[in-house]
Amino acid sequence: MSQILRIAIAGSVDDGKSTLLGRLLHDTGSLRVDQISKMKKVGASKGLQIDLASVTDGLKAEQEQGITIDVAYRYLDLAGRRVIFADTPGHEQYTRNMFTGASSAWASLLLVDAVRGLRDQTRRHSAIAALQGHQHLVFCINKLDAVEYSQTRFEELAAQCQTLADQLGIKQITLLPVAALNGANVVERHPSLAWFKGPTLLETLQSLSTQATHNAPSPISIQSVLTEHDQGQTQRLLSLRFSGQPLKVGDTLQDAHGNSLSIKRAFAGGQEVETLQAGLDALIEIDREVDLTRGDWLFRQPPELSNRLDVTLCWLGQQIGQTRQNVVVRHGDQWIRGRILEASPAIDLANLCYHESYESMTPNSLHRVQIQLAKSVPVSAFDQDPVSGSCILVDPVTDQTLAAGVINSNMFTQEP
Amino acid sequence: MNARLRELESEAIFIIRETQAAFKNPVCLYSVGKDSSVLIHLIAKAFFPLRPPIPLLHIDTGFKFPEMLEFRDRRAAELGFQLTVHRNEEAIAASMNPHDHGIGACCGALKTQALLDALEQGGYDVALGGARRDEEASRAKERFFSHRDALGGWEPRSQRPEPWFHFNTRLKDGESMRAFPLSNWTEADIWDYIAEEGIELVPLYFADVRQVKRSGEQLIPLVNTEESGEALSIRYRTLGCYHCTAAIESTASTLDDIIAETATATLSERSSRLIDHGVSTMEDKKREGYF
Repeated sequence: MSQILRIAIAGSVDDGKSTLLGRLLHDTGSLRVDQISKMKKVGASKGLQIDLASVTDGLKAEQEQGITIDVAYRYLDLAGRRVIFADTPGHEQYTRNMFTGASSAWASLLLVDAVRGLRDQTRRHSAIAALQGHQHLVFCINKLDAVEYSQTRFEELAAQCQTLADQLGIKQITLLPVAALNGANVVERHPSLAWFKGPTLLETLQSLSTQATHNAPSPISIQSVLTEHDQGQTQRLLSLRFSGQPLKVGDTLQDAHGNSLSIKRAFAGGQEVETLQAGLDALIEIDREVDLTRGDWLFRQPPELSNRLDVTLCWLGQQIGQTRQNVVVRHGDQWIRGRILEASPAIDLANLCYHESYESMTPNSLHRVQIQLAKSVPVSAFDQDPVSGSCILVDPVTDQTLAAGVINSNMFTQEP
Repeated sequence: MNARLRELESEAIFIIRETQAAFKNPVCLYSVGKDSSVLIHLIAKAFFPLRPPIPLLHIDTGFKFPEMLEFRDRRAAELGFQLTVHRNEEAIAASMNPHDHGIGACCGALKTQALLDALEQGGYDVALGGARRDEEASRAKERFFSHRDALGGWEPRSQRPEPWFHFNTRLKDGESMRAFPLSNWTEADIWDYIAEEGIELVPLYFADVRQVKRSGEQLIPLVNTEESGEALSIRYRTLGCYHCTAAIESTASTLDDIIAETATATLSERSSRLIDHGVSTMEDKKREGYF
């Protein structure tokens, strides 16, 4: 179980994401005096008392245009627990940045403007959060002050959010009325929202659970092979990343060719240890000389290997994607040549099902593709093992990241 | 170690090992400050029980506190790092300084240009740094792996996606990367970790009676000068060049004092760093190749 709560803030442009985060930081006393005076100074230049969004919109182009271009990370301690917020951009053209921010999280705050209601970007961001395995969506129906704190309007939009979550198969949701601009129901309750009997945003955050770890014997990716030569002796260690069940000294593992090897010594956090918890910094010494290199895999049970990947992805490239296109795939810790064989039609954001006909993969659209790989790799569904269950696609010529996706997902269907 | 620090430590170690594995010729920028002291401690841990395979590079502007230089050489040797020091000798010989030339020009020559020259001369394709997202608004936008064009510049409008630790580390000739293992650490995390791990720091972080002069609301240190000021109990929250690093009045002389002081500070960490607040901001400097 992680001790850090990582949350993405998403939703359409101008729904008030950065303002809500600024309000939350401000009202929880998490800002320093100089940060508040800067927010007031930026606010004054716009005729406002305080510009809450300016605390996260740190780029000049963002401040000039009053928009968020790239994800900003902010840190907050709530009741002894660290929360990392990824404040993501709402513009469709910056979906790639939203995708990056959301991938670090496992819960999202999705903002909905009470005046304008749910929009395509609300649906796109909800779909991306669901695809990335977010367990909990907190819908913040924002700008309630602009609809006279109408309970009817809140309930109408809350019902639409509920339908959206149902379409995406997300069971844990929270529906909150808020007004980020004046802070209503963010940290403090508000007299005009006396009809709302649920929690404030702060109370909701305090009650969210952090990511639960599963306990499967997932495949183990070799991040690197570290060697040191000293007085005729060579030391060789493997750094690993894996999810699921811990590893222990003495455990027997197999490589892709069926060779057995066992863990002779183990290190984590700069110390020799007996048990390695799943995570990012395991290092092992093995008991024999086996040809292993960065990107190879070790297994605790016979793996399912395939040279075909079934990937549900978000197209992040600036150019249109095509079937038969050559790509390089980063899967686990290796780069593999690949080709996109087939691509489904894009997701229709209105009903979150695939469109009837395929055109091409345009920036920011969601598709399900089949990729042929130059070699076989272990494949797992993302919710079983994020390490072998996800990948990115990169253009071999320009080095631009084209897409990111999860493997063997049945998130979307052909029919509503 | 508490679970939060352990999670941050493991994330940082992953980024450090990825830097070593994915690039041809990595280097670590060592500024001798508290964050880079934590960073080199983590590099040593990442490769333990092997020796740290990544060399250190210090950009010496000629305006570093003498205590920093002594500490730098000693710590690098104790932890088993190879250390290279680079100075923009041409600009130093021409008496570049912030008072006559402005902070922007001075940083540009003594830090940015020196860094870009040192990276080119060393043929380094990736440089690790101790920058944190909570330090400053444009740093809040940084990726773990931050791409730099062939001139060393940062383009914040087209950063690479990096979902689920699948880093696109591919580079064309001349391009390079900056890597920030401490991205998700806060100032409080740094101090908690220093206390937990017993990491040694330059004494300037701890309060002592030192000579300073007042400049507006800032307390500027008096180093290498005949000028007289007042003797106050001060310490530094961040360390840079002595012309442009303001001190804070403090009696925090132990780690526990500093942790307590940081928790209740009313100003943010870099409010005492003059380079963040001029006409040319951190973002401008990063676009030009500043760390």
